[in-house]
Amino acid sequence: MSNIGLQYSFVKSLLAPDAVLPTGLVSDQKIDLQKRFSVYRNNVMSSLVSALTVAFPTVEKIVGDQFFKAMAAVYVRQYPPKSPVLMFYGDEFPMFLRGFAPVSALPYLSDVARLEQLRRQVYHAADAPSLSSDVFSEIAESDLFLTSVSLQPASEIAAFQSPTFSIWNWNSVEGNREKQDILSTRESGLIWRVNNEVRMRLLPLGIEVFLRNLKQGLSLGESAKEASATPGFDLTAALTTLFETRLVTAVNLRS
Amino acid sequence: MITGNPRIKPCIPVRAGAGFKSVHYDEILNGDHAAGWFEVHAENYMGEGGRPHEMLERLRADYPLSFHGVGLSIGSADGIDTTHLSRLKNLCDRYQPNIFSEHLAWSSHGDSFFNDLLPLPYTKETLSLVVSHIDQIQTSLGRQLLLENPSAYLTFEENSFTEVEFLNQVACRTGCGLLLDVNNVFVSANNLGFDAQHYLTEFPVEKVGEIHLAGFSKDQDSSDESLLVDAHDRAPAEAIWRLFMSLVGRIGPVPTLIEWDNNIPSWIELNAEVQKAGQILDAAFPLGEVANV
Repeated sequence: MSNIGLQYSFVKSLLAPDAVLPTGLVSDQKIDLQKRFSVYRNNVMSSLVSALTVAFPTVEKIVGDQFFKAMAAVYVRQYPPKSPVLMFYGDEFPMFLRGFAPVSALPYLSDVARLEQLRRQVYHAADAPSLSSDVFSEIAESDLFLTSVSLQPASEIAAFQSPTFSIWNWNSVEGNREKQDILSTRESGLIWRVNNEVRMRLLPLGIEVFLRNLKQGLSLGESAKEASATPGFDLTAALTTLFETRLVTAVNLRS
Repeated sequence: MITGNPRIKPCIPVRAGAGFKSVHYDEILNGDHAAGWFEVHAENYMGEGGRPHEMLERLRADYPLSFHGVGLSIGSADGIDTTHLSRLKNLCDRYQPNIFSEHLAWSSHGDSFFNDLLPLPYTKETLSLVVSHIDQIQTSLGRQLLLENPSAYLTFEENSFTEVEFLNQVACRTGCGLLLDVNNVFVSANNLGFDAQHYLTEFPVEKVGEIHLAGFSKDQDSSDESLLVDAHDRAPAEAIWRLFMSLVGRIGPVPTLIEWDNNIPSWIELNAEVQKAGQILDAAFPLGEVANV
């Protein structure tokens, strides 16, 4: 058999436990070929399930280890990795969870997976030095609102219909201490890096809009104007958030 | 098939090294250990930035590094993934590892990656496939690759070369070197019923740039009693140490890695294995040579 044909039949048998084995394998009485082939099947499945476990630890914690493994195996069969860079495997996992009937009673699970995926992207995102907030004091007041900024590549702004940040946090607190009741509400937040560790903080709606606009390249003035349509928007608090989190990597004065 | 471009040759101290795990980072930086160099899986450093690169840069500043690829799928019938090859090239250009190695296996098919080292039949067709892929990789990276012998659980009726003949042919035609994994030899010999010592005697040892030592597991619930699995989840077995000792006693010392990727031990435990390998390598230097290095 050609290598093309052999690899095709091998792959079919790898992901489908009931499939017949590829032909052309040496067999003798001492060798249980099914058992031998199952080493490859097990290696493929267990290593990919383990990659998902590393990627989605909070989802695993919520549904439990055994359930997660079984659910991840279904996912692996439907969505095998497309790249050997497994640190990003699981792109479709949040979408998969939304449609996976056995977890339909946990409508927030998909959001938690999405949050874990964003945390992972932020963890691996490119390095860029942050600017000190002093640079803003050097900009003439009349120019300040015309200025646009570049934000850290290692930052994401996320909004969820479920209290996803609180659920994530509740599950990461060890024991029962400090655990607070979670209000069933929409949440948005910032995920970013400090000294290469992933951090998260909740954002009021107005500040979320402000940061999103900045990220899209609008000037400080335009971003503030759009955000001020949101009730309770506080520009001072928004700028404080921007400086405290050291998100700014460049300022671009508009000529 | 060998192209005229000069290629960076593998060159790492003839000492024992350890597979790098981030949980050992702080202890490794303390420096009081037996590892002369470290090996990392290249694919784990293909993110753009953050902690993994912070650690690798620091490690690179203090130690020689070996990059071990697990994703190139050299035996893929449908070609090398050039996107992945260029990711690898960027990584090698950035860190300038002392060694780059990959496996005689395939892992990808179509647009799917299976994350396992799957077996190849040793035929003329496979030989020309592997030779052309290694040539492509070495040309792209501008460096010589070390090709690792696989661990096998089954074999193909149409084989027309032994594994050793096959590896030797690939090395002769591409100019690549070889990475000799003693645990893989032992596991395959056991699973396929050949003599590991004979395999090592036949192996083109002059092409070996690195040795791997690792632990295997025995498949407990198997009706097939001879089945061993290349698990990398424990220290190398006594049988592996014996093969290693007799090998380096015969061919002289070669840079040797302790590979331990699952059930990761404490650094103290891993370091003890590295130290053991190092002592065997020291004893394998010809008389008088140790004093001169």
